[in-house]
Amino acid sequence: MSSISCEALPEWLPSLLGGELDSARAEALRAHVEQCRSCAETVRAHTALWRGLESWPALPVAARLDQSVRAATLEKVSPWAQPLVQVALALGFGAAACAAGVWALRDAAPLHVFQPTALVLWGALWAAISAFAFLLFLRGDSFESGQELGLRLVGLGGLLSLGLSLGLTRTCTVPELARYCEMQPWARALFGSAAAETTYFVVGALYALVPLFFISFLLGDPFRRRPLLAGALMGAVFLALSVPGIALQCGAFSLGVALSWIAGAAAGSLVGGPAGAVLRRRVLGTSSA
Amino acid sequence: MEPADEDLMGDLAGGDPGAFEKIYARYKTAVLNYFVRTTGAPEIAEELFQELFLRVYRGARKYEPRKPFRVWLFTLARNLLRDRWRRLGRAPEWEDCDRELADPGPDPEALAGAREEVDRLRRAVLQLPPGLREALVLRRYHGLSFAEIGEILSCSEGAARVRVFRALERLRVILAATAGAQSQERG
Repeated sequence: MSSISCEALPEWLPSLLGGELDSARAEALRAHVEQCRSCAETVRAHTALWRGLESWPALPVAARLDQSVRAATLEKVSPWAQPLVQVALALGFGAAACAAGVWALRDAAPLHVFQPTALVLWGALWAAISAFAFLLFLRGDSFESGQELGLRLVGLGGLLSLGLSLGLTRTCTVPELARYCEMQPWARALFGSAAAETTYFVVGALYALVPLFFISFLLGDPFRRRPLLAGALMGAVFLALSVPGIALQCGAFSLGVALSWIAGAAAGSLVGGPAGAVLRRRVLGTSSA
Repeated sequence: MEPADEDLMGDLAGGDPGAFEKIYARYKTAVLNYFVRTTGAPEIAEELFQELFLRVYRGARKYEPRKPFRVWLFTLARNLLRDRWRRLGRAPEWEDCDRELADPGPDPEALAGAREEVDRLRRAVLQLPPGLREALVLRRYHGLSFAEIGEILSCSEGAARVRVFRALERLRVILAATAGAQSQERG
């Protein structure tokens, strides 16, 4: 390696300063510097700065800081952080969320058409999924290492979106909005003579898309690294939480309508979550190095 | 032979609080000074320091031993720092953090001159853009390899090398400008 160009300097000089440049490259750099005044000046200045930086002394850790860290970790582990306690909390939350969901849907869901066993099974499923989402919120990662997805917010976002969706349902149920749409001339013009399945697909999608979009936009700041994936996961949690509620409302409907509604909810979930997170990133920009 | 950091993290994840004590003792000075040198604000540095070790303690089970511990640790530290900057909307202002030089000692004039020089350099480092400052601090004060710095800063090894070079170039410019301003004031 006999000669190098000035362009190699940014790549090689930092290694030279750290004493890590191999001897062949160091020799080539030295030969270049002897002939190039500009690079010689840069090497001289960087070397002086590198040495000068050593004069910035390290602060010792104060005893009160040691005490504070110990108090926050070794001496005081919150009982709420124990795994078994968190699982118990999640199960309790799941049962409460299921009861609240059934209460919110009491006017919209024809519960009397279900067999008691089926009702209990749907309720247990809804409680289990809610418990899972809550556990995700309690124990998921939160971007601390920079390589994670922020599952805490995925769980929280799914639950909040469900709450918002149930609130929408309390205001106007999906079947009410579907019937309203079917009666409107503009809706007839838009959907033509489409079957009820199409209307339920579109309205079901709206009832998933709107709350998810809003919540993922609201919570989406930490999702800026991977907004599509994090938003889609939030959508998937929301969809899993929604299906039992949709099934309870579909008791008197045909299988085709029920499946269309669920498919609409799936489409709305997979669009709403990522769209909110992506828009949030567009609005706030990405962090640059 | 002292156990490796990665093994200690495994022990901590298994519920051994003694492992945390060892990790804390090994890294407390490095972590505090990383925050001091990147924020220039000791109070903020202390807050971030406590938060970081709390996260290490609570997140031991999430640590993957495939990743070198110090890369994981400084990635956590960097993300905490970024979050703080983002909340503030800017990097914090420089503060006087020269506690150990508060006592001038036996030769006040020489120490005062040295202190002025350190202050000038420190102010210059804290004027660097965050990405360059982080690369320089990780390299100069923590001896991390360029591959490790690249992993922490989410860039390539070559880009980490160039960041350190650019940081030193920028320092030259800043120091030249402050020296010019000082000589104008004296003149």
